[in-house]
Amino acid sequence: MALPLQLLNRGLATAAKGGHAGAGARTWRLLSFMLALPSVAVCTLNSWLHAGHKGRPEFVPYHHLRIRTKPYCWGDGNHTLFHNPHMNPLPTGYEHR
Amino acid sequence: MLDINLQKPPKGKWPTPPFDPRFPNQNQTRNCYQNFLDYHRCLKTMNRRGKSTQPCEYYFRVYHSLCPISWVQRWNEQIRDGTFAGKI
Repeated sequence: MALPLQLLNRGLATAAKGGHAGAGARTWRLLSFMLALPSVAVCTLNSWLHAGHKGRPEFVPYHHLRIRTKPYCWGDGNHTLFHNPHMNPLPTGYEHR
Repeated sequence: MLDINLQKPPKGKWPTPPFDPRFPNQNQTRNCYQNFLDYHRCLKTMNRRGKSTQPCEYYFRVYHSLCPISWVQRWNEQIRDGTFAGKI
C-alpha cells in the first residue's frame, strides 16, 4: 500500500517542487498560495492581454462545417446553443454584424 | 476539367491502378482522395509553369478507377463553388 503511494507522490510532487514534506495541511496550504494562485494570476494576465475584438474570418460555405441534418430543438433550430452573432456564422453566412 | 476522352488510355493498356504501398489495406478511400488532390495540384503547377499537363494524366486515371463517381462529381462541384476543403 505504502509503496505505490510513495511512487505516485514522487511522480506528482517532484515535478513542481523539490521538497518532500508528506501530505500535511501545511504542504497543501503552501502549494495553494505559492503555486496555484500565482498560476491563476499569470493565466488571467495572459487572457486580458489577448482580449479585444479580433477581425473575424471571411465566410466560406464549406460543406463539412455548420451541418444541419436535423434542426436544433431550441430557438429557431438553426442557432447553436452559445451562438455569438459577431463570430459565429450561420450555414448561409454571418448575420450582418 | 480536361476532356475525359483525351484522358482515356489506348484500349487494353490500362487494366487497373498499380499497387500503391502507401495504401496497402482494404480501405482505399485515402488512395482515391490523394490521387484526386495530386491530379489537381499537378494541373495547377503545370499550368502555372506553362508546361504540358500530360504527366497529370496518370493521377486522373487512378482516381477515375478508384473513386465512386458521386464523390468525384461532388468534389468537382465544390471546386467550382470554391468550397472544396482540400488544399489544392
